[in-house]
Amino acid sequence: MSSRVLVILVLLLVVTSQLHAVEQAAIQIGSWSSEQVHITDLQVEINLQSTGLAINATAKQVQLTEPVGQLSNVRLRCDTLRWLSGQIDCQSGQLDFTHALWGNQKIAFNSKSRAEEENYQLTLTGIQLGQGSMNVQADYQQGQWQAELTGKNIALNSLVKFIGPYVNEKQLEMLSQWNINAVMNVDAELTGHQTRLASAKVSGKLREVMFADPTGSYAGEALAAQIQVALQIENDRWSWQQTLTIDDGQTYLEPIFLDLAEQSVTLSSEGQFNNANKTWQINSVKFAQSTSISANGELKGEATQLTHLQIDLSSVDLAQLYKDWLKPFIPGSSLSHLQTRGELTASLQWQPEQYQFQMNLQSVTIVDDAGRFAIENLEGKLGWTNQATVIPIDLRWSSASILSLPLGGSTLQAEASQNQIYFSNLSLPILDGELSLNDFQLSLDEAQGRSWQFEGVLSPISMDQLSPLLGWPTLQGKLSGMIPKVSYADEEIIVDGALLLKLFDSSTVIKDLRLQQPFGSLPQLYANIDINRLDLQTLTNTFDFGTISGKLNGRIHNLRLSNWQPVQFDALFETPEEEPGRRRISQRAVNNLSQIGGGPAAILSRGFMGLFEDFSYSKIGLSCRLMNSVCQMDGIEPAEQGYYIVKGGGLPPWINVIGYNREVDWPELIARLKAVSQSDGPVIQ
Amino acid sequence: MGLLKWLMGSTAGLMLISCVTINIYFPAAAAEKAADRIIEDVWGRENPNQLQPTESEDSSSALKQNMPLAMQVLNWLVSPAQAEANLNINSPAINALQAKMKQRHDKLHPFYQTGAVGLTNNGLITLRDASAVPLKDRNTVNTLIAEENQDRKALYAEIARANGHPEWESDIQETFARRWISNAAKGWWYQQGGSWQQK
Repeated sequence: MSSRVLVILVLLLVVTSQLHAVEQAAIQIGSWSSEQVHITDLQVEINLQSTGLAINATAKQVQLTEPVGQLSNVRLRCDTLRWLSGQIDCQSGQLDFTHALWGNQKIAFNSKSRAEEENYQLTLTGIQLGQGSMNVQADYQQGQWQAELTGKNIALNSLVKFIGPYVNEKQLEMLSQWNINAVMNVDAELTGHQTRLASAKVSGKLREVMFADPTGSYAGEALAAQIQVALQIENDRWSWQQTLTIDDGQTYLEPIFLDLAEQSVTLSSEGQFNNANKTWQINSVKFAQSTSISANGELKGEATQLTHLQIDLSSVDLAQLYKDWLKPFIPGSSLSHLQTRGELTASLQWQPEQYQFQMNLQSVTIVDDAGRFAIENLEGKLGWTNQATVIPIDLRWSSASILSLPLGGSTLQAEASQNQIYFSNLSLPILDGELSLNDFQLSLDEAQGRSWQFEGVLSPISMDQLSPLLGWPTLQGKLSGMIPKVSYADEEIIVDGALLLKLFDSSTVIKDLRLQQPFGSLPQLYANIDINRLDLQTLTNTFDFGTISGKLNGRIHNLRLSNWQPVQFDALFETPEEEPGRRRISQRAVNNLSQIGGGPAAILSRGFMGLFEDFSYSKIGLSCRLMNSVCQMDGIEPAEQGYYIVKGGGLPPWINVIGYNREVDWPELIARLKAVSQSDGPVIQ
Repeated sequence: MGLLKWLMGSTAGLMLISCVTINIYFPAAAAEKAADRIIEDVWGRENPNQLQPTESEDSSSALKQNMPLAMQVLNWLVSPAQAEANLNINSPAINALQAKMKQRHDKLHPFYQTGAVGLTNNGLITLRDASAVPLKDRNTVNTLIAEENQDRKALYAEIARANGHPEWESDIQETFARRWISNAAKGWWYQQGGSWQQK
């Protein structure tokens, strides 16, 4: 406006001079001030030409109001200024100036103004923004305006300094800590009324996008994106449509990493914002990442608070979905090294304090890389809610495994509601037996975390099938048990009641079974085991140890397995006090026993005893208290400088086996046992 | 008479306190030696800052100096050799953990060098400077850190359990915290009093 006043002033001066004689006028104005502008060393030259007026104004400094500020070495030229009945036009003008932020600018302009009709048109071309340039075309008519902006190769960080005056200090400080850059080509169409924006249509192509926050939680490198935004503002109601496609580069949004060169991402949304009450609504938001995920949602909120969310998503590539979107959230957990495949669809409904999640699975296979668990061809639906509404769970799978135990296919019908899953029965086939889980209940509690419990029955499993799976020698017998209650909480599984193991004609009872961190770094298993009337003949034949007949009672108490290896126990095996029947021990067994005991000194007499194939004994027994890899050994009763492992008795010939080593290195003892069971055994001469 | 009563009473009280103290006495010097052995195995011998035998002696004598006189006497009476048991670190579980950590160290080593990963003052490690890690490797580093910390916690607990004193876990963790930092190579970052320092 002020330049218009200036022009009128200059022209008045010209007109009041003698028009004929003066074809050129140069006016030195010096400084000129108004409320909004302060000009120093203003000089105006006017030439009368056949095409109109030529005007050339220079000023050393023009001080405009913020955010523009000070322009220096300002030069305004227009060789084609026309002034006809209230219309002032300049078809090709040139404005040069220097600005602290904008540098040296040489902007070509074209303007038309009809002051009476309040109609102005202005075109600016060649505005320099760093390495890029921008053209602006604007029309103004009685308060209504529209503008078209075209920018080429504009570097985003060169824009950041221009927005300084528009954002507050806090935002500016945050921005300065972020490292952001991009080069963009942008086209924008803006319309408005007075000082207010009414609509905007922006489309842009961004390349070489990089951003990084100070902590490294959010970062992007070499991204390329296309963006389209349309915005309409009516009174306090803003509505928008937006599409963003990113198809190159890499990004990390903690904890998600996306390689967009491999998997491009599209995000589009359409919604409204009410500025009066700060509520917003996204009617449709769509997100797609190649085949791995596509989501469709609806969101509502107030200010920064989300008040409603409804989202449907589907994935035909579970492997990619797991790799990109699930695994990063659970680093180092038992679920962080999985092979997954299959397809799924899911839906989530959320509002404060209420949520409901449902999922449909198709041909889903999940295998733990460490071989701790697996499930194959999982199909069906499952869900979770904190509401009283019941979500049915209906799953089936073809096979599964847990800690090297193969489980057959099965089906599960359950119900989810109020942060719990409940089912009355699930049968899991294990080898030739079955584990039946009854009254299973899984709960998720904010304070106590995840916990579950069930009652169960283990119907007989053949030990000859089970033992090799556990890395044991092949054992005969059956494992079965009534399990009154199994519960899991705080990363610990506790089995109440007893598991009954039928081994070597004995009944072995496993009690106080606890398992800590079953899938953690170092699973810990605790138990107390009591063995009743083990048949020694069956046992020794199984291990090719030589033959011992008779029965044996035993206990392994305070057993601790760390990472499935025994590291601590208190064990005692001995002949039951009252046990009729033969008690014989073969030479080979004697020799093997003495080897375990730690050497030749264990046998009382050799030469003479070598004449007999077997001997009778009255009692046999051995105890070992394992701690710190050392087995504190003892026998049935003390002997001179040692302890009896076998005490002779009954019909001759008798034999006593005496052990002298009280402390035996556990790994060495295991090595000896292995050597004995594998060797043919030396013959005593 | 009053003096005798006071003497008797306070001696009995002293004995009671002292007995309790003996029971929870943690073999600091042995723990340091054990920690150094494990650290040396996990990190290898490349670190120029090898354990200095004087250090562990220093700290154990410092510990003795801080002990009340009565306790020192009592320690002498009940024979400190018995109280100061050797710490066993040779169980199959500990060996398995150690082997896992040793294997992982090859992958973590470059991130210690760049300062991306630092040693915390509680015997664990953490992501110190995410921007020093290429974007594509950030999840890998997060996983390595989580798994390393899990193994370290399991190691501290297992050493305590294997020696029949599960309650020593936090003492062992503290000992390790000091020894990891002390054994760290030049240029590695560690936490001290809430701020980061470079060796």
